[in-house]
Amino acid sequence: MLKILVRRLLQAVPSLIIISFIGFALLSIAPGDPLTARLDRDALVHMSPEQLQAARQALGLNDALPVRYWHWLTGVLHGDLGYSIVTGQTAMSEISSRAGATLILLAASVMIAVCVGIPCGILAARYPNERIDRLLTGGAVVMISVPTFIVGLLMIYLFAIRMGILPAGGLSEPGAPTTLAGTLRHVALPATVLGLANAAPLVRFARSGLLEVLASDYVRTARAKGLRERGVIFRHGLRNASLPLITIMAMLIPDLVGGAVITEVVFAWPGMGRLVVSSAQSGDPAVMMTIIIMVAVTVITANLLADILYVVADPRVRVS
Amino acid sequence: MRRFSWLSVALAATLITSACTSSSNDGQAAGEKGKTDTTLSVTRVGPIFPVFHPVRATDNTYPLLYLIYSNLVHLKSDEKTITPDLATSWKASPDATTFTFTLADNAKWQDGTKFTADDVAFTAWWAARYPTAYTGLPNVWSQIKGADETAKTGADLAGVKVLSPTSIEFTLSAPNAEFLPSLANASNVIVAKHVLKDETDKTIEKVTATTQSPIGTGPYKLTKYVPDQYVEFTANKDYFEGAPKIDHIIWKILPDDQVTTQLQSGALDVAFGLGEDTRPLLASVKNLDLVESTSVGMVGLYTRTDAPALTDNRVRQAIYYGIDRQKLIDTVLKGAAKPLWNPPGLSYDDLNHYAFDPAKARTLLKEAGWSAGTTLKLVYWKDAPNATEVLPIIQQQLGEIGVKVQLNPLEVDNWDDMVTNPSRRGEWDLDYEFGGSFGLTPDQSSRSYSTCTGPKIQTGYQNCKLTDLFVQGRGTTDQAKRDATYHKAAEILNQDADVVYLWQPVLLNPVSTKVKGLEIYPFDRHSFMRANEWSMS
Repeated sequence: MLKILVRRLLQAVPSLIIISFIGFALLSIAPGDPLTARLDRDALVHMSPEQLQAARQALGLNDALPVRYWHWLTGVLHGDLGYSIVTGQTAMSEISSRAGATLILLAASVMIAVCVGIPCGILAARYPNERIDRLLTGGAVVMISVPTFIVGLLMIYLFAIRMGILPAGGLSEPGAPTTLAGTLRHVALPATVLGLANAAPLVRFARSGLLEVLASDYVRTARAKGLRERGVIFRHGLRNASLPLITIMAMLIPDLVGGAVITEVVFAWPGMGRLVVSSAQSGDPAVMMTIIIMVAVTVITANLLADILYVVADPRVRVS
Repeated sequence: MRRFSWLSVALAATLITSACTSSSNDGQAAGEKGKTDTTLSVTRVGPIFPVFHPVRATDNTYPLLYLIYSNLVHLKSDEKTITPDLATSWKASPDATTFTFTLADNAKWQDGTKFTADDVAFTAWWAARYPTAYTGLPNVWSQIKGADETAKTGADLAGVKVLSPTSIEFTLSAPNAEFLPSLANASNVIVAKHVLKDETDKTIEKVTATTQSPIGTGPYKLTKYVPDQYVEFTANKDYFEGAPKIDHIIWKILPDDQVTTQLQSGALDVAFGLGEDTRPLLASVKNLDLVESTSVGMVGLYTRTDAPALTDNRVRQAIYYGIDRQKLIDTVLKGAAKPLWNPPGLSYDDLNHYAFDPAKARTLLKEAGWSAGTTLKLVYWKDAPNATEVLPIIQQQLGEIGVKVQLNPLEVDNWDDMVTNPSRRGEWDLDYEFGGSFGLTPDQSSRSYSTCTGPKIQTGYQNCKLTDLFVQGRGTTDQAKRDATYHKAAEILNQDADVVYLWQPVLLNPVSTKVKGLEIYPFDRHSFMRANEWSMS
């Protein structure tokens, strides 16, 4: 077990370096100049070529790509992730002031995805091809097919504008003290949208996994023993069907992070997703790179976690 | 597994119930609060930069500076009439070179310190000392005599004389009658000497005195800034023109689509500078007035006059004649724009309006020896206002007079870089531009033509006669003389057509009927100059 863990952790290092280099190179070769994000257009137009050159020099934009990457990498290894070109704050402070909001949104969404997705999948598998199954799998297909921003806009229209019972966006009421109730009220719509979008694949995987297991010999044996249906499903069915679900849930994490970007923009959620969009638009290298690394670490960790859970849940994996 | 999932269900249930019950609690709390305090939520599309100092007088940081700080003078909503602010009276020499100000003696900084002429002198000195720190709209202080010397050595600014704690005199290095109204721009707000005297261009954007808790003499104190959410301002009860009437102003930082959504849901009271496309969404919202304002900006095609195909001004005039601007305004823009034939501010009525005339356009092209094989590259920011609707029609209309146009949509920083970077001039011929503040005064256009020998900017058009006329216009305080001079400049621009001006947008400013006394200025961000007079019913 420990050996697997160490090996996987060591494998993660080159992955991170390769990801960071590709990210850095892509950001650098993308057309445009980060300087334009910092300077007012009017000021930019009237600057002489010498002034522009000096401004680029001051921001370290003049060196060759490998040199800049090396500076960035050594900086990161010393714990210095650089400064945002746009705001002048450190990349870390830009991100940390928004990470909390994203974590709240992700936690609430995962909870909704799991609490809705898995029970619905079980329900659908329990009554295959009946009306409830068709309704649930149909709903899941719709949630997978319709982009989250459309669902988001519909929800805003319904709950915030027509009914006026939930806020249209933001994390808190400006000026009012932050309360748990207020936060929950604000997170309700975005988390539901993101949660349901991620519940949909869970419904389908839980259903098909469980159906497969329920058709197997040992389930028939259990039924033949006269075990109650609930026992069959939860003790024999779900435990075995949960193996692929662990992988699916780990694979959902990148989806969730990606979905969070769109959801945050639609709901004016002050998290890292909005920061990603604005720093991508302004080509802010330090902030973008920090986020790329954080997402890469999250995905690698999620995969690692899935592997470990898999080993814990299935003794057969340990043997092989 | 089973235990886990039941636990989650229970948690989810708590979450949902608490979310539902909390809604009523929140409502009550807000209601009770509303009795004592008035709060105005306001926004404008676009980013803010969290440096609350005139070095960053750009985008939406610009209007916020008016809440925190004061200027020497302000403007009325005609953008022409100068009104007192920190300066109670002023005198300009007839040659527009020396300006003397008498200052208010009851103004205090928001930390209680008394405001004096030394603060004004410090503001001017600091700006002259660190000119490159200013990345927003330009400030006027570098026009003062001795500014170059100060930038090099840090010496006192020669053209500034503090006559007494309540009076100060400026001498400019060159005459400029625009100096006085320009003092009302947010890039020229007065900052506190005792707070910022130790800061340099390296530190100014990092200290809490500019990022978290700026100190001004303005009507509102910045009490909280939450990234990507809002900036909260609280009334400054000791404001020298009397305590402002609204207790809190909340500037919301919202993605574009949320602006209309929150106006619809009532979570936002005022939004500045929206497009006509939001009207169908907002027209039916109760208690919301849609105030129209003609912007001081413009929409037009910059022509690269140093491109071989565009050097002849008859080709540029032909492009003007070949575009049916009025039809585009009536159909695509639903009437929400006014046609232009020169920069706003210089679009005098007796000039050539370049009304749609394809026959004339073809004649001009023929005279100029236009070759039918030439294709012009039109570059634009892909999300520029109306670009995707307007430009294909323009492409078609120009095609009909024999000018082939290739449309090239770009991401914003690539476009910005391409059309401003001197080394990328070969990559474009026409550039769809929008915005600016040319309409403020006739002299606003002078910056585009300030040199006839230096490096070429944007259109690359240079004309020493034009440059001289703008210098003359600034050189006297005699209004009749100035008008005549600017008219001459306007004639040249109208004739040479380095920019094919399309129109001046009419913007929508939704204002809740609860809000009283809010006047929308043509340069919408200037409306904040008089935030102390706003009130709520």
